[in-house]
Amino acid sequence: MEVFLVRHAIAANALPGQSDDARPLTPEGVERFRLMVRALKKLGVGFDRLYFSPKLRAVQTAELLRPLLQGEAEVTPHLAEAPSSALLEQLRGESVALVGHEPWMGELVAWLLTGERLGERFPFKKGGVAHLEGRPEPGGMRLLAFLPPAIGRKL
Amino acid sequence: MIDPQPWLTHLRVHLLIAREGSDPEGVHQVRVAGRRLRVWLELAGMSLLEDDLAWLVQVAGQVRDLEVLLSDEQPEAFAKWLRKELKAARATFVPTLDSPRMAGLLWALSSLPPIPLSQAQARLSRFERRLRRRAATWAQEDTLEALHGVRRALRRLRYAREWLGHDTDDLKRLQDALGQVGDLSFTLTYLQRFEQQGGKVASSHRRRLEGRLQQAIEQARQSWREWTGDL
Repeated sequence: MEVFLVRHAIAANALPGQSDDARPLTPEGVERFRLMVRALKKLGVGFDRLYFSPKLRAVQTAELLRPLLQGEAEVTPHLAEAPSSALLEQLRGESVALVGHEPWMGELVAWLLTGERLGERFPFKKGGVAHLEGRPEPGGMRLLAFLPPAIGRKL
Repeated sequence: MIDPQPWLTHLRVHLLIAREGSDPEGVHQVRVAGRRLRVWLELAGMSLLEDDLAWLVQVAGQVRDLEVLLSDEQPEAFAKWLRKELKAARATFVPTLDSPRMAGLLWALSSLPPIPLSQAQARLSRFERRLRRRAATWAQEDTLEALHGVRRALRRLRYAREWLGHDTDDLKRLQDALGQVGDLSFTLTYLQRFEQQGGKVASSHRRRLEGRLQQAIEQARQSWREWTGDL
């Protein structure tokens, strides 16, 4: 399985009384992540399944990835919490994208690559993408690419 | 602004009733809320939670169809088979209410912001164009499947207009006429499945249903002809 781990794009700060879950992407976040999607498309990236966290900024980031999806999208609360076996057991498909949050995306990369949850070694910038390949189990994958958001402006 | 939250509340309330299972209105309203929220997403220009809502509508629909059939008088052997099918459908449906996907869906829906009326209004023409396309297919093919396509597009247009606060009495009447075809055709589909599994009903019962279906199709055509000047 190929897995693309994506941290949500730049989001607005919470307004007074607004829940963290309801923070939307900023116009700049949308614009920059569109460039990342364009770059991924140029690289020939496509997904047959797209999983995303229920928080609005992840939903909106995943929405921008939709043109790369040839299959079903599925919301999962497991991407809004520390990585778990339940998340990995849920994954279906050959090429899968997961959209979530820090520190959990970094922790998930470390867990899949090394079997250990050393998330601080794989810090994601907002809108960053990690490309992994292998069996989706702890220590079962290898890293193919770690794309910073700036790659979108360069490709 | 058009806020999806009232229909999310409606969904949450009826999920509890649907889980409990004694009132068919629970599953019915879960499906209605799911469909209305899908239309809201389209008005908002969002496609992402569409798959999740479609999944909910589909699993609820399997229970709802059987509950509708059992609310009508059916031949005893067929009714007994339907009750067994309903039990199996509920055994699939109820665990989905406790699934992570369901929890994620409710969570995501609760974070959606209202959309400006002007944005939704600008998207209404998409629903009208879809209905015209489906109607053109129905006119060309004259199949039940094409008619169902019109029925679904009509329902989406009605819900879209209702989100915008428009009057939809004309659409409701037309939807009722086309809905008769839907009800009779899925009754015949279940009857066929029952017979394929060795069940028996009097052939006169089947012929009666087929006759009513033909009448309903003709009524749907007539209602459509009367309405098309309005689109």
